[in-house]
Amino acid sequence: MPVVIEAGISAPKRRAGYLWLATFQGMVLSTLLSWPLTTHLLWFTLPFLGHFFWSAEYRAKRIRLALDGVQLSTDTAIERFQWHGEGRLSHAFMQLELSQDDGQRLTLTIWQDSVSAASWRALNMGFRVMQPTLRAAQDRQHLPDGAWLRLF
Amino acid sequence: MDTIEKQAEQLRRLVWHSRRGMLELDVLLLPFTENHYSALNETDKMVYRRMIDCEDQDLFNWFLEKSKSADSEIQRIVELVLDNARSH
Repeated sequence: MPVVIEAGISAPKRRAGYLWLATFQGMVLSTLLSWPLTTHLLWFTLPFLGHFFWSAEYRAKRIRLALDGVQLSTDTAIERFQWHGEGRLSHAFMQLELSQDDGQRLTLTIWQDSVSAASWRALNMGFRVMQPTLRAAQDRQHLPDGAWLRLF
Repeated sequence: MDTIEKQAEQLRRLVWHSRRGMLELDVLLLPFTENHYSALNETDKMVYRRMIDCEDQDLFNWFLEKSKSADSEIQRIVELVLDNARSH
């Protein structure tokens, strides 16, 4: 029986704050160093670009991770994906490369500040425990028949 | 108290001890204790109880495969728990 991890996902809290802080610093610096209006406008567009970029992200409300089966719940639907161990884990986010039977692919990014501390720790453990097994299984699938035996 | 009651009480205690200070360990240990512990043989049950008594930090390192237990019996149980977590 695989480890099953379920977590609720909310909108990340800190990213918008960091972006506005960077924008504000940039605007202040550009004011102090020079006065061109275009520089101000360029800085001002940064949070909007960030907003549009993040709005395009897949917004899952809930994730259920059970080995290679990933179930994502959004406001309107529940979708099932497969995870083959591809992705990365950092202190700030976790990225899972998911796919569906029809070939549809999704890169799911879960930010640390979008889940509770407990969920983040559980997801971390799940990622670390499951990834090596799933990657090994994926590697075996992509090797020609019997080639994995010759590795030993 | 008959044997079945004793076993049930032992399992309840073990489930309680499987709730660690570290949530990462709960994710692995609780399901194993609840679903697989009863199926272990007496020797493995004893080793499992010994493993549960180890420090959280040691367990964390063993389960993340950052290090291995010096006790080969405990290491075998760690691998058993991991295998169960990774199996369908």
